[in-house]
Amino acid sequence: MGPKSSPKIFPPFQLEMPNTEAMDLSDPPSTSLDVDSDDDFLPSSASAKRELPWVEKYRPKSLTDVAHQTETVATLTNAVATGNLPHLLFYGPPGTGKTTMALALARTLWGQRIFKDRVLEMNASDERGISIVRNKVKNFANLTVSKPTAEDLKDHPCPPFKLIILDESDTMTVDAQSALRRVIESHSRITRFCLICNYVTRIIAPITSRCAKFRFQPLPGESMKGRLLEICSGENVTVIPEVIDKVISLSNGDMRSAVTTLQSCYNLTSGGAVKVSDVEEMSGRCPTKAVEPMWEACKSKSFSAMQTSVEDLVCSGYPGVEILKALSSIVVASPLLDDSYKAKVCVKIGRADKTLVEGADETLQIMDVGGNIIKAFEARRN
Amino acid sequence: MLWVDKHRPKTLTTLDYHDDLTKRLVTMSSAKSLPHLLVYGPSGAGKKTRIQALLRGLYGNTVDKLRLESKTFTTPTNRKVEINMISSNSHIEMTPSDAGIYDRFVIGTVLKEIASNAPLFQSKAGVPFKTVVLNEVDSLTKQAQAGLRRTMEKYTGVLSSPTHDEISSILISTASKENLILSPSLALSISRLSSRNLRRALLMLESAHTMDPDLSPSMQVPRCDWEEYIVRLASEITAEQSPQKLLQAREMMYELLTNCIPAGVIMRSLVTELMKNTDDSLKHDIVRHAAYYEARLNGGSKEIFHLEAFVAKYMACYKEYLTNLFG
Repeated sequence: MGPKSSPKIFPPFQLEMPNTEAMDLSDPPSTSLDVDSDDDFLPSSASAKRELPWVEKYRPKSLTDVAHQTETVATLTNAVATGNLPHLLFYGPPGTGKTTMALALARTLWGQRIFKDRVLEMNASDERGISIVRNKVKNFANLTVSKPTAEDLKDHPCPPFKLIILDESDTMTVDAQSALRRVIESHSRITRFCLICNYVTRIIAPITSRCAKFRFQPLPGESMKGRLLEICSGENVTVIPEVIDKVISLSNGDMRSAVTTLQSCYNLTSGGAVKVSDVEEMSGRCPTKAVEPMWEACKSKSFSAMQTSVEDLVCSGYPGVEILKALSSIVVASPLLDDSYKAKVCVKIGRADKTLVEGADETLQIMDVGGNIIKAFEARRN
Repeated sequence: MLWVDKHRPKTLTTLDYHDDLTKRLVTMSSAKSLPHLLVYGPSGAGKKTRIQALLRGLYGNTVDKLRLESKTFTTPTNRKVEINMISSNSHIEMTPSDAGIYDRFVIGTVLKEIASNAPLFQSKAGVPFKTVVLNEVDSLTKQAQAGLRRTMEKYTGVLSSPTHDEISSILISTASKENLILSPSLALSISRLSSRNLRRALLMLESAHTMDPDLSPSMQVPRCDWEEYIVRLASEITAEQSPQKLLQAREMMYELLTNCIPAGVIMRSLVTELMKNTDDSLKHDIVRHAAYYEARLNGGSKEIFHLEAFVAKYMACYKEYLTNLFG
């Protein structure tokens, strides 16, 4: 009832641009926000609730709930209190809470009721070429904001501007980004932008200089552990501490992947006890154990032995890039090789990784790396 | 009907090997709930077979009533993109990378459209969702994969190639279904030649059967024509290193390419063949050059250049090795 009632109360604002307003209400991005409406409208059946992935179900709803990013939270809470918000640029590795933070901020500013009128969220799955920036974003930025009701003002500051969240904005073309430049400036009276990306270097400099930048760090183990335990207790799931530790170490500070791994492990054991080995398998990583035969073969300095072990390794179905990762961790930790040889091998692994990403053959590349390791061992003896 | 298709396991319970994974799939299909799946592994490891069996477990026989649809979409830049989809009432299968550089559009628009519509017919099995099977997702562009990102949270399943023992036992059981007796030694040699690819092993078994209906244990397992050809190419360039030989090798490689053997496959088989009879000290050089030229092969546009460069490099290495050896 909330979002629909506001246009009726404030018809004058609607009359200015009826067409674009209608378009924005019906566009796909708004559907992705529907998950958040759980606060007001409890799902009709229990099954609908059950099918929600844990990542969505336990997504922090308010700014203070967001784990670990204390500085950003403090700055934004201050901005909310004063109602003075700059344009924002969130960057950092995946699963560190960037999108969550943006949504939580919007929710804190406006509350569920007028959320949909004030926020436009677009991510990489929406068309975001230069024409979209010119039409849709510009039109939304142009709209005058509606006046909040007394009811809205009671719980939320409701500052007089709108928020455009451009998620995964590093996938936008340079042209589209350039088109944004002027839009950001000329509409700053009534619109704030929040750009979210993984690689800040892919955002053009004129845009970054217009925004307040916030770096999101990978989450440390303790904060992740706390969250995962909360989720476990919320779902009435008992998981042994070793499994939690394994999930955390495999996720490399990516909260989303940690929660997803945990849930898929739980689902697949269908409520039974989750084992550490399940977690390893589920994460799709190549365990160091699998690469050991190849390392041993390299140590024996026999090329044919190495060749067989590499063929077996590739047949075992692990992706080449993961095999290289496991191999590099062995090489770096090994006491058998000098630093200078290690460096040489690592350079080779790096090159092989690049060519693999570009689509080269796994067996040949990994065998080449193996050959280099053998050479390093041979050189060491002399 | 080819034996590969005839004896393909139809249900989850009849699947051979990878029992742990099969057990998980059974759990999923009986719970009628499916996470997003990412299935990967080498070819001939049984990815497709497993997914088909899973779908059959979920939806019952409706998945067998297939129809081929070809849909045309118009991109924002007014290009027409045609995509073939195989669909039943409960699932849709497509290869979005067919759309080339427009795959981002296919992922963004078409899939969203499909995914937001409820299934047309409620299946009798009572599964409240439909399944979209995307083939060859690894050849999608980066942008298209980014487009899939937020829409799904996935579960990965690694499928490793079956071991030689597993392949041999499947070959023997398949042969017995055809009322044939396959000796374990022949089964193993077929399996070795198939490089742990079950599909290829079954095809080889069938072609062996057409050559020798009794499948006598001592028979020579037939290899594909092109493989024989590559073996010949390898021995030719090892026998003599000269510009004339290089020209001859070029002709042979053209012959292979015009017969639709992918350049990557030529390179792989050639390297395996060359490494069979060489000294360990030379092997690393061969692999190094092969890895280098194979990687360039994917970046470049004219395959023959890179194949030829590799052959020339090999000749140079081999010649140098011989001179060092005999002075």
